[in-house]
Amino acid sequence: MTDMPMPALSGVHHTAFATWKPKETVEFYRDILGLKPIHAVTAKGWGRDSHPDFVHFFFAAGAGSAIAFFYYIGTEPMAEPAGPRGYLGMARHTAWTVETEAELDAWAARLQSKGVKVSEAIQHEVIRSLYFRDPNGYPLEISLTTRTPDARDEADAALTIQAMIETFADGPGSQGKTIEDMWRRKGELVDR
Amino acid sequence: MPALYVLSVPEFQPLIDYAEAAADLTVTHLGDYRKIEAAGEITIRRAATGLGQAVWFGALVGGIEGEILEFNEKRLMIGPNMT
Repeated sequence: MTDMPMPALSGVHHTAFATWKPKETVEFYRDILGLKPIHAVTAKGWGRDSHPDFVHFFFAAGAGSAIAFFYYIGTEPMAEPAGPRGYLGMARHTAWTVETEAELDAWAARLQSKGVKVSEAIQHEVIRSLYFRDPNGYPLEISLTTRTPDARDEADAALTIQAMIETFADGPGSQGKTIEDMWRRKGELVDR
Repeated sequence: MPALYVLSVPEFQPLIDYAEAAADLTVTHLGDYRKIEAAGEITIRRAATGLGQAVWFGALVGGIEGEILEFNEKRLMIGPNMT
């Protein structure tokens, strides 16, 4: 049997989220973030009786990608569409890129001037980021790449992932293993 | 002997520089990593490295040898394996 050639994925086309605040969502993404609405789908149901009527609207998110929302008409809003407050509610987030420090600073100033609560810029290993939320509570980020990851980072990430998989089993339990166990395994992989 | 492996990239360089200057630590080259060791315990105060919190808390990604005795925003201590 011959392997099929690996098909390519050439970027994120769009990601989509539910909203029960269509007006606020449009005002936020279009007027505060400056993302142009580029497409909207409206549908009465979607074949099944239980499927609500909806408006599915898209904003150009830069570099050919889009961010989209579903407004499910007449449905009960989720209490916390982004998930619970805290780290779990921060995990699934959208991060935009900017190209200069001045742009990152300008975004911090703009968001503040529009009444959006925004974090200080946080310097991570290879990015510097602002954090804030949209009117639905979805966590958003604007990042400046401060160093483009290279072959060293790629090789290091491969070893970290190997150490993670070898240390932890999938599922809710980690069999008593800790991040310290993972770091020790990583150390062995680096030092062999 | 406890050890801390640090990927030699610019954001971790302040940690490597600190270790190279510290009398109680030795640094050896291991490919793209630097192996920081101490005869007894490795003790590094974050303030002495100048690292910001986000990078500091990510600085163990290269791996360790030994047991973490303390790791918080102020200080990292790694001791020998207890087992």
